[in-house]
Amino acid sequence: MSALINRFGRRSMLGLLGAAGIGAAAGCARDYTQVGGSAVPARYRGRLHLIAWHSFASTTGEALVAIVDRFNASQSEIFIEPQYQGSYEETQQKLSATLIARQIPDLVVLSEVTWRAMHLADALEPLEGYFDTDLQPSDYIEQFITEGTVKDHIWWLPFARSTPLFYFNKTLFRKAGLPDRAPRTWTEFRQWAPAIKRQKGGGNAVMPLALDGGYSAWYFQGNMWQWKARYSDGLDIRLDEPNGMAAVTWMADFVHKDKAAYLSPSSSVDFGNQAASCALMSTASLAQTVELAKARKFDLGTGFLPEHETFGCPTGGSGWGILAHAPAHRKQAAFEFLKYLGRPETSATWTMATGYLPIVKKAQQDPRLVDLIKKDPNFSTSLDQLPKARTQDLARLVIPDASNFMDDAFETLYSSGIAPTTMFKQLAKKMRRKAELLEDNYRAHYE
Amino acid sequence: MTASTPSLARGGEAPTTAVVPDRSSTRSRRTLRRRGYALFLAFIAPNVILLAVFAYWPVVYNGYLSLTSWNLLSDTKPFVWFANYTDMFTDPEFGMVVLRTVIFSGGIVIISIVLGLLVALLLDQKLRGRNLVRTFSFAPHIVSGAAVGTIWLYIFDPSYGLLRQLLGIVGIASPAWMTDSFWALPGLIIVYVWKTAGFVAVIYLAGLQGLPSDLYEAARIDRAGPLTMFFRITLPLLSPVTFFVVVTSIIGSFQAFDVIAVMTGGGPGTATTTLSWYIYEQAFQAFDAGHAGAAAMIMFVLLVLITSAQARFTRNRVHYQ
Amino acid sequence: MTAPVTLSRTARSPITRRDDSRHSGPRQSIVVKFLLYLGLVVVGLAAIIPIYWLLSSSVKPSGEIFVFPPRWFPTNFHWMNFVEAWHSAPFGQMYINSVVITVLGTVGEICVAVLSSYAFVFLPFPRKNLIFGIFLGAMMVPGTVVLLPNYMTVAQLGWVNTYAGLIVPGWGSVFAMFLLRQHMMTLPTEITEASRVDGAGHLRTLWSIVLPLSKPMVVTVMIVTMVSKWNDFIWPLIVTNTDSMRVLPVGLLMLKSDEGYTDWGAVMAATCFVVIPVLVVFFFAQRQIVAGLTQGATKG
Repeated sequence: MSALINRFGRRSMLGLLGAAGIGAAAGCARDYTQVGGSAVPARYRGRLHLIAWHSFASTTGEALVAIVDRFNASQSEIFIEPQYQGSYEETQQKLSATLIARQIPDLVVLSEVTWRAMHLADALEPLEGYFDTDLQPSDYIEQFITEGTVKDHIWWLPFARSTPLFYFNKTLFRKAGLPDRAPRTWTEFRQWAPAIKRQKGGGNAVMPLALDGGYSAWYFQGNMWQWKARYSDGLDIRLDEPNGMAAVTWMADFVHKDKAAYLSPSSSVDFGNQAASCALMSTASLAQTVELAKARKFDLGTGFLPEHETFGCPTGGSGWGILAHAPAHRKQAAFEFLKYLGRPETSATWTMATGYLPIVKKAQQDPRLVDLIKKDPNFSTSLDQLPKARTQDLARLVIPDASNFMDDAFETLYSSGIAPTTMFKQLAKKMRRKAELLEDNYRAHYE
Repeated sequence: MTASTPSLARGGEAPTTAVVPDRSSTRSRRTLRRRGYALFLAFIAPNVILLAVFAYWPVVYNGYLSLTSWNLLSDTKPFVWFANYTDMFTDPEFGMVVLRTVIFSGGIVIISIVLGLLVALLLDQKLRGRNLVRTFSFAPHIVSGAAVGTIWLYIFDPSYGLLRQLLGIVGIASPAWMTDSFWALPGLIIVYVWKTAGFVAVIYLAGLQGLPSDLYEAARIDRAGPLTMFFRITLPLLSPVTFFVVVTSIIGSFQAFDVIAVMTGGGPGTATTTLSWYIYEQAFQAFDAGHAGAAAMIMFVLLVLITSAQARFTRNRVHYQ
Repeated sequence: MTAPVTLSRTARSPITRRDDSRHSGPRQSIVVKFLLYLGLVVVGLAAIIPIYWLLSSSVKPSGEIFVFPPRWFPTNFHWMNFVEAWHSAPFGQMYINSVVITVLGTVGEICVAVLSSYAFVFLPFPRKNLIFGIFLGAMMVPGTVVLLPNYMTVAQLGWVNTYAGLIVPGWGSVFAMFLLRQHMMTLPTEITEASRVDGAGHLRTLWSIVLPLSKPMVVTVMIVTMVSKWNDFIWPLIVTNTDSMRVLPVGLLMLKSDEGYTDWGAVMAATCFVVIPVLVVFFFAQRQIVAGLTQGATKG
C-alpha cells in the first residue's frame, strides 16, 4: 500500500505543485474582507460596524466591554464589537491564520511581543498621521509610546501596560516573624526562606515563591538586569555571558538546592490559597488578587522586584494595532476608538478596574485614582516602580517564537534537573540561529 | 474466529467479490459491465474527491512545504531543498521530540493492550455485574479529549488533587505531575491509557467470545494448563484483533492532541512536546511552515512504516485453522 | 490469512454468540472468585471515578474545590456553577454549532460512506480492491498532518469560519466506509441480483434492500461518527475565529485559558455541557456502538 502511495505521489507531484502555485497566486489577488461579526443591536444599526479582537477574559474582559459600551453610546457613527480570542499568543495565532485567509478584524490587541511580529509582516498601519488636537503622542507616558515607535512611525498604541510586581502574604510573613515588607534583595529573600517554610498551609510547608511557566522569560528579564546581564543587544545574543550565567545559576539553586521556589500550575491560585507566600505576577493581577486576599482573609502586600547588583524591571502587557489592509474609512473610525481609550478618564477607569498602569500622563491625576491609591497603597507600588522599568531586550521581542521557546527553556529549568549553564548555552544557540534567519527582515524594518 | 473477511492489513489484496452480471440477461454482458463501471465511479466519486482534497493532497502539499522556508505571512515561499530536514535531524531537540513520541505512543499502546486484554479476560468470566463494568470501562473512550484533559488536570493537581489523596493513602508523596519535566509525560500516558484501555478490552472481549471451543476441549484432554492454553491458543487466535487494536491505537496516539493541548501545551518546557504537538506548534505558533511540513512528512512516513511492518509481522504470525 | 471469504458470509455477531464451554473446567475456588470480583470492582471504579469526579466537582462551591483532602461528596449542591459557566461564554450558540456540525457532518459522511461501500461490494470494476486499499491508506494520514494544508485549502475556498469549512473536510470517509463494506459483504448477493431483474436501479436497490438489511451497522456507524464529530477539537479550533462559529470543546479551552483566576467550578460545569450529551447517548446506545465496533475489529 505504501509503495502505491509513493508511486502515486511521485508521478503526480509536479502537476500538483503547479496547481498549488496557481492557487496561491489566485489567493493573493483577493481583497481582504472583514472577519465575521454578530448581529448589531437595534439601536446601533446603520453604523459602521468595526470588529476588535482582544485577549481579556473574566473581570478584565468585563471592564473592556464596559468601556466599549460607553464608547458606542458616546457617539453615533461607529459600532465596535469586541471579540475575545484567548491569550495574547492565541490572538496572534488567530490573526495570522485569518490573514492567510485574507480576512482581518479592524482592531487587535497585541502584546509587547506579538505586535513586533505583525509589524515585521507589514500587517500594521502606521498611526502617527491619525493624531489630532484631541490626542497627541506626547500625551502618553513616554516609555509606552516610545516602545511602539520604530523609525519614527507609531505602530502600536499602549493600552493594558504592566510590569511584574512582587506579591507577598503579609499575614504569613508576620507569622514567620519577618518584616512587614517585600525583600529588598534576592539574598535577603534567600535568608528569609527557611522561616517561611516552617509555616504550614494545606497540609504542606508553605513555599516561599511560586513561579509561573507562562511569561517566565518576561519575569526573568528583571533578574538578568538585576545581575547586570542582558538577553541581547539588538539582535546580538548576550545571555550566555558570565553575568547571565550567574543570574540563571542563582535562580536554579534557589529552586533546586534551597527548594524555596517552584514551578506552579498557577501561581495566582497557590498564592491565593496560601500554599506559597510570594509570587511574581503582573500588575494586571492586582485588582483580582486584592479581592482574593479579602476572600481568603489574609493581608496582601506588594513590593518592587528584589534587587541583586542593581534594580531591574521590564515593561510588558499590550496595546492596540490597526490592520493596514482595511479600507481608509474603517481605519479612521478605528482610531476614533483608540482616541477614546486615550482619554484620561477612560484610562483611569481601566486602571482602577484591572490594575494595569495608566497609559496617559493626565490619568494619574484623576481624582478617583488618587483616592484609590490613598485607600490601598498596593495600587501605587506599580506606579512608583514604573519610572525605573524599561523596554525588554530586543531578542525576546522580535525573534519569531522566541518568547515561547524561552518560556519553555525556563520551565525546563524549574521543572527538571538540567544544569542552568547548559540550558542557557542551548537557548543562546537556538536564539542565534533564529536571529540569523531574521536578520534581513529586521534590517529592512528597524535600520 | 473460524473465518475472516479481508482485513485492514490486506484490504488491497482481498479477493474480488464483484457481482457477476445476471446470466439470464439478454443484454450483452459488455454493456452491462460498462454501465456497472460507470456506476461504480459515480458512487465512489464523492469520497474520491473528498479524500483526494482533504487527505492525500495535504500529504503532497506538506512535502512541498517541507522544502520551503515560509512564514505563512509573506507572499513568497523560498525554496530551500532539504534544509529543514537537515536542520531537524541535526537538532538534538527534534531527536528528543521523536524519542518522546515513541515512548508516549509505545507506552500507551503496550499498556492499553496488556491492561485491555487482562480486563477482557476478567469480563469473559461469568461474574455478576460484568455488563455494568464493561459499560463503565468503555465510557472514557467516548468522552471528548478536551473534557478528559480538564478532568485529569484537576485530579493530578499536586496540592488539591484526588490522586494526591489516593497516593497519600499508600504513603507516597504526589509528584508535581504536569509541572514536573519527568512526570508530565507518564501523567499523559496514564490519561490516554485510561481513555483507551476500556475500548481495547471491549474489542478483545468480542474476540474472546468468538473463539471456537473445540480447541480448548482438545487442549483440556491433553491436560494443558490455563497459562499454556492462553499463550498457545487464545493469544495466537486473537492476533487479528491485536493487529486491529495495535494499528488503531498507534494511529490514535500518534495524533493525540486535545488532551495535550488542555493539560500541558507541550510543557513544562518541551517535556510533553510530541510530534503531533510539534507540528501544530511549528505551523500555528511559530508560523514555520517548512519545519511543520517536514515534521508532518516524517510522521506520515513513520506511520506507514510502522503499519506495514506490523502488517507483515502479523501476516507471518497469524494462525488460522 | 487463508480462510475463504465465503465462510464469513453467514452474518454472525460475535458479541451475541456465547460459547461457555471454555469455562467449564474445574470449579473456581472461593479465593479465585473473590479475587476476580475484586478485580472487577477495581476496573469499574478506575474507569468511572474520574467521570464521577467531574460530575461532583461541577456542583462544588469554589471553596470546596481547592481544599485538601478533597471532598468526595459535595456538601451542598452549588448549581450556580452551571449558571455562571453558561454566562461566561456564549454556550447557547456553541450548542447550536455543535449540533449543526454533528448532524450535517454525520449525515454527509454516512451518505458518502454508504455510496462507496455499496460500490465496492455490489458494483463491478477492475482491481477495485486495490482502489479500496488506496482508500484505506488515508487512515494513515493523521489529523495533525493535514492541518496546515487543509487550512490553506479551506482559506482558498473562502470557507474559514463557516459551517462549510467546519463540516465538508470531514465528509471524506474511511473508517465508516470500511465498517459498512465489511457488513455489506455478509449480505447474500442474490437479493441484489433479483431486484435488478425487476428493473430496479442500483440506487433503489441500495435504498430499499441493502440499507434496511444493514440498519444495525448503519446505526452503529452513525453513532460512532456523531460522537467523534461532537468531540472534534483541533480542526474547529483552527478553522473558527468567532464565538458565533465555535463549538463546545473549543469553548471549553477558551474558558480555561483565562490566565490564573480560573473558576474551576464553572469550568467543570462547562465540561459537563460537553460530556453529558455524549454520555446519555452512550448509555442508551452502547450495545450498538460496541457491537458495531467489535464487528469491524474482529471480523475485519
